[in-house]
Amino acid sequence: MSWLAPLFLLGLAGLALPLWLHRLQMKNPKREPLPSTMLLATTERRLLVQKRLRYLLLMAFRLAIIALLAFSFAQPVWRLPGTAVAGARPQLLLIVLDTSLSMQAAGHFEAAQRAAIGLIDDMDGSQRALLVSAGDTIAVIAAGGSNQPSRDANALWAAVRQLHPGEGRLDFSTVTASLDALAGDERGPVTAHLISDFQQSAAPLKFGELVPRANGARTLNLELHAVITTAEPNWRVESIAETDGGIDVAVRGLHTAARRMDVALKINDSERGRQSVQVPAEGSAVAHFAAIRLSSGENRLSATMAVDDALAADNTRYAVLQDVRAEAVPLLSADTQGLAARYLDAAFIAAGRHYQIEPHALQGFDTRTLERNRWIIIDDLGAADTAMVQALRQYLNGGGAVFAALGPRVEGQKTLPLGGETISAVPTRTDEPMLVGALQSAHPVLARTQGWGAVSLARLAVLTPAADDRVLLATENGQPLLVERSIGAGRLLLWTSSLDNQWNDLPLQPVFVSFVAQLADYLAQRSVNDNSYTTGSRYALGNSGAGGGQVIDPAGHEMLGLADTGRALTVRLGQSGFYQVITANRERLLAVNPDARESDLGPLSAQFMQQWQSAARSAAQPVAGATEAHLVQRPIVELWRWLLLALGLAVVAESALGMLHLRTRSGASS
Amino acid sequence: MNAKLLSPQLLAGLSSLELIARTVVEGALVGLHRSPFFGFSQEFAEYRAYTEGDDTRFIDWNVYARTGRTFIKRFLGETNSHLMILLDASASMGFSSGSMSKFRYAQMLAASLAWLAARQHDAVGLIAFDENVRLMRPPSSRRGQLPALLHAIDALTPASRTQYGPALEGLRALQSRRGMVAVISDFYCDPQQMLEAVRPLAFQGQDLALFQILDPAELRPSVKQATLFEDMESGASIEVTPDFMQDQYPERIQKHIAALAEAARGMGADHVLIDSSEPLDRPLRQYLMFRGHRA
Repeated sequence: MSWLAPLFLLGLAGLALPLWLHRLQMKNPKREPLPSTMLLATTERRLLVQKRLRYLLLMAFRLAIIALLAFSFAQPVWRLPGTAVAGARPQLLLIVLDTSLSMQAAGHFEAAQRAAIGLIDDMDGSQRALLVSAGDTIAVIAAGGSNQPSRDANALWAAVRQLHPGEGRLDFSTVTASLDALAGDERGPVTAHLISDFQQSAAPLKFGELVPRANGARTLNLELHAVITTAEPNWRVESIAETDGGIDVAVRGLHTAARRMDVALKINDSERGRQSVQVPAEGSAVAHFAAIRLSSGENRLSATMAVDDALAADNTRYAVLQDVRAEAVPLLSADTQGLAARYLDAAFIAAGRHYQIEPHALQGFDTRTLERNRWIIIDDLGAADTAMVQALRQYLNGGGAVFAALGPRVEGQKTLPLGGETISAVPTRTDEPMLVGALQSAHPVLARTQGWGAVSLARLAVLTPAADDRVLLATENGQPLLVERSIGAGRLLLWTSSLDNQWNDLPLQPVFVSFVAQLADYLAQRSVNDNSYTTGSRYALGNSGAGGGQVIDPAGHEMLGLADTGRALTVRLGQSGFYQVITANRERLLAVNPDARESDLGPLSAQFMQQWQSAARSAAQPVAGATEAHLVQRPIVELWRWLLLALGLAVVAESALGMLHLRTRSGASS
Repeated sequence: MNAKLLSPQLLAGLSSLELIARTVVEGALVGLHRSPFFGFSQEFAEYRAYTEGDDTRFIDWNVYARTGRTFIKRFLGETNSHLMILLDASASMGFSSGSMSKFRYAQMLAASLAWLAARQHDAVGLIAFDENVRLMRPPSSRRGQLPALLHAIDALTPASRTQYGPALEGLRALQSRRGMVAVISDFYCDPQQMLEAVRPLAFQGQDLALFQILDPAELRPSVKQATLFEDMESGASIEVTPDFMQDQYPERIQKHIAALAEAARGMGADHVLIDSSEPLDRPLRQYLMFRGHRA
């Protein structure tokens, strides 16, 4: 028999109390002198023996109550006899429990815990075990206060009991790649026991990545323990998207039959609608919420489907959508009355984007206000002086975004502000203007643009892109027209010509409208979709536009300590829900959702599992003269329920006997 | 005399045993003289010369008037007899549930008997005993005998166990002729064994009176909770329950008293049960009745 919480056995010290009280009572009854006890001799001894027996029984029940209470809380378990094949046993066991989101499905993790406890209980005195949690991260779980392999079965059991599945995604290749490192300096045979629901969606593309490789001469075995063998039906909310005048919520079923279900939409914690949709078998359906107006700024959206399925964690999806109403976008210009501002303004209106161009003179612009803006436009980067360039670099490093054009004022400059590359102006070519020759159509800025072929360019600043630069548009002869460059945490989109109609006719072409709209969305990081992150991913704090600040998780806890608030670069988004990113000048909401692949509760096929297991065993190099030991799981009987029943009976018996004893002592006739 | 004045509690406030004994006897005798049922025999027996200490009420003033000499009338019953007082001084006699222990009561009773006997010119002796004889004074009617006895009685303290054998042996050795024997004890013994022990005395012609003194708490125990009772002589202890003490124990002790009385009757002895809270005149009257019958 073993104990899951042996510390509670310290409660047995309470047994001393009734024993002491009994002794006290027996030693210190009321004493009186009597001239002679000759008339008491015969009968009273018999009565006294009866009384003493009754009191002993009462004390026995009281001792039993204390002992049963301590035993119940210590959670004893009994392992039924099993079978084991004698042979060379691995010295180190790696017990890897899948703690990904799918293990939250009903019964999955409990089955995994039982399997782990079975493995621990089957250890002999020479073996040690290391408990590992495998989700979006592979982490060693401390047992008995140490991260080292342990022989202490009770500590390992307690550590297993305290584990809970998370919301991350597990990739089996990550596990198998980690096994050798987890084995550390162990020289003897090592067996890793992977306990999982073995989702099909968690398998890597390459089968070979599932077979662990051991460095050195040690044997590294892998044993697979599946907690489910058949697919379980599950629905998930797949997406939240803004459409014209409304919000679409997509719901999908995996391994499911057709079913009608309700979908509720909440915006900023207020329910805004409920739709009933018919989801076909293993298909998807869309609930459309019409006439939904978002509040100005960032909106928290959550869509929940009312269905009782195997995995509840994916029944709600979160999204942050922004209603940008006339968001002011600074246009830094040497000539605020110039055409660039008018062309850009007109393009936004034509595109239906709610951006308001705010022209500001480059000279005298308060660069401290840069951080308030998610993105800015500079119509001629050549007009920026050194101070402005420095401010822009700092702004970009902090995660800001800049769309800058190289206009006439860059002429004569040898190096590109913000880049340092050598630039040179192309002489005017009036008879044969240059055309756009190449574009990255997959890039979000250019994805839905058409008509670049009509754009003609008379002049542009020729620059040599840096190694990390991404050339999105180029002329026929390969001169970069639109370059994307990462500077720190920010992005710079550089248009190597002007933004008015002096060096090119882009503002006059239809493509300008869609280009500017998508450019704005891209730099402002606004998506028509829910713009969500995945649980387990890391968020770069620099994206908020400034270093440092605070991040508040969905539970309302601050994630950064005092020392980290000024220097943390990334935070891990471990839970689904809304995160608040607060910096000195702005706040931003992040929507975090579980990886969609974790919603698929279909396991790997039995054949695949067999192949995997065989491959793993074949790959393990046998130790000379040793044979593989096959560990057989033995069922566990938890005894605490029976102990609680016995405790209840003991309490009833003690109460009844105590009343009887009290009557005797108070002088009632017996 | 009002019995209230003979209450043990009141008498206990008197300073000396002699005073106590005198008070008891005088009080009892006054009562006796007034009672038609009790008292000395009124049949004139003889005159004798007045000696200091005699009751002046018995001076025949007619004789004095005629002769100028004081003479005391002696009546029938005032025979020259002797009284042996056997006083149990064992530890059990020290029991007390109130302000007076059984032994103090016994001391007062013994002193009163001695005083009465001396007043009637009976020779009086004393044997104080526990498991052995602690004190033995042969009977005598000399003038100094009474003060000596009272002093000896007063000096006793209860201790040790009870054994009647040595005391009775001693008595047989002292009292060769017929007389009166007053045994003052609580008589926690087997009645049959007591009967066997005193039978030789009965054969000897001694007139026995057993004065059994028990405390009210022994006769009517009041126990509210389980109590460990410790034997005052043996030290043995037994825990008892309240219901036993209130229901069964009084029955047992009454049975014991009855058995003792029966055994006393069987050997021609008198048995007087005395509650140590009751006035002393009753036991004294009992003695006088007993003496009267013997006379």
